[in-house]
Amino acid sequence: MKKRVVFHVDVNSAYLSWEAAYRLQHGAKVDLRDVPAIVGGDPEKRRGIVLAKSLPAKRAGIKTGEVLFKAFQKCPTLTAVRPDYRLYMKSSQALVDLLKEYSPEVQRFSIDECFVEFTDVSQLWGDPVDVAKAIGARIKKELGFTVNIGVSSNKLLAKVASEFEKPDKVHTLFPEEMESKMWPLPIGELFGVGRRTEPKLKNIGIMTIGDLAKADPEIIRYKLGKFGTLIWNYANGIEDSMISEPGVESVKGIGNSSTLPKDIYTKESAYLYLLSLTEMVAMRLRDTGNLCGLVSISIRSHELDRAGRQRRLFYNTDSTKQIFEEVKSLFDELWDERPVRHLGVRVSKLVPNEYRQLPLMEAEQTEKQERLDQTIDKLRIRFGNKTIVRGSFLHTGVKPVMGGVGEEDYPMMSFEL
Amino acid sequence: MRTNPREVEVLASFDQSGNVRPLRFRIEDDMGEKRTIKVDRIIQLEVEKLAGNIMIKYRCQSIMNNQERVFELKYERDTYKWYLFKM
Repeated sequence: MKKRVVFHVDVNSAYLSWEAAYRLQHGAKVDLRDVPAIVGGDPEKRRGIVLAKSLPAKRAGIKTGEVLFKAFQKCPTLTAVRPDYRLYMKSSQALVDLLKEYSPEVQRFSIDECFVEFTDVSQLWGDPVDVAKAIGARIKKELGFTVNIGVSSNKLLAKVASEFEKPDKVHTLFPEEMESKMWPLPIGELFGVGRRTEPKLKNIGIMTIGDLAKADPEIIRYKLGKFGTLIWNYANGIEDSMISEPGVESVKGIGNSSTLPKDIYTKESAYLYLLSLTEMVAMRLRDTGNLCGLVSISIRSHELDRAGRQRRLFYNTDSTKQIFEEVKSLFDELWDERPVRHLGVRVSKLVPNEYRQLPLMEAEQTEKQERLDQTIDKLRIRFGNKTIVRGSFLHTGVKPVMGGVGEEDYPMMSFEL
Repeated sequence: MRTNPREVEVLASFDQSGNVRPLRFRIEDDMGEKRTIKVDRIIQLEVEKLAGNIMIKYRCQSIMNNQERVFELKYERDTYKWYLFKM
């Protein structure tokens, strides 16, 4: 049997690199990667969090996920850039397109990570490591950013390999290399082991991936259940999933949330913010070519406790209006009249919009609505979100379209490869 | 010699195969006066895909102030905008 070969391609500081390449293309004198720079939040108001950072920013002690305000305290000369979700989707797509020139089986695992099945095409291209290096060099030259490529015999090990020394490197991690390259790593580095699992393992003396690999699987199963077996297998490099269907299908849901500039007390103003969030969610949903079958909302009160509610729809939709109707009624059911600090809207159970069942009575209405949504999308894509706004936002000070970066659209931390 | 890129008005031709060719462009000189410059020759054409953003880069040659000058025009496919570089 032919030996399986899989690549994991991981973009180095993705958002920041893409932003830097785009700016250089437009004549920027400074490469954001060479100065302390971050992507995230709203640079003018210094709100929001750091989504990506340059190496000089990392050296200044800035961490991903930290609030912008704190980042500026650590480094006053920091350049902060507002995230541009559309650009990142374009960059991600360009990466997938390039990889598909090498193999028909490419899985976009997140916006900045892809798996490539190389087994069947290795005879065509030659030695996997040489090809991985050539791919890396091409991405750098043509697309203007660098990647790490992990080469191994399954997706898990390939992913671990791409996490080794960065940036712009190719690493291998074949099963025979596990003991020397993977087992000495701290247990928190293992795919699937997060904040919750790490202390549980450390409590029973498992500090490195090797400790877990050599532990008795029965004990791990007893402590952590089925999930324990999964990560024990991972520690031993056992993972045999295939490259799954390519493209946007890996998006499980689309969400958007925002901390409000001030606490709100009335249903009407909550509706406004929810509409603004829904506008962006629905736009992104349409952009992926999907319909949703489930709508959910989340509310965080001024005391920062969180509540959520969801509804499975009897139909599938991508209409801003329909989604917003569901959002409103969910809010009515959920809200306990306490001041609201944070709101979120999310859609999931996505299906391709090729097949849609129109509600009989409203068919004409739906088609009209659909054309309206499409036209508004086109205008906004071309001329910006402020081009066309709903009248209800006038003089309210509420941004008509609130947008996150879209990172939550991809499974950032899913335990299944 | 300007090095900052800027957006410019361009008159271009589009053929049946979808090829785009800049013919003339208009710039404002330092006096605020608009001048039209004819693109005499396209020396080189290259498609740029940096960060996945497609721009067609034209290396052009024109006579300006009785002098032969080489410069770059870039056409951004997603925004339909033209940029003038290295002028």
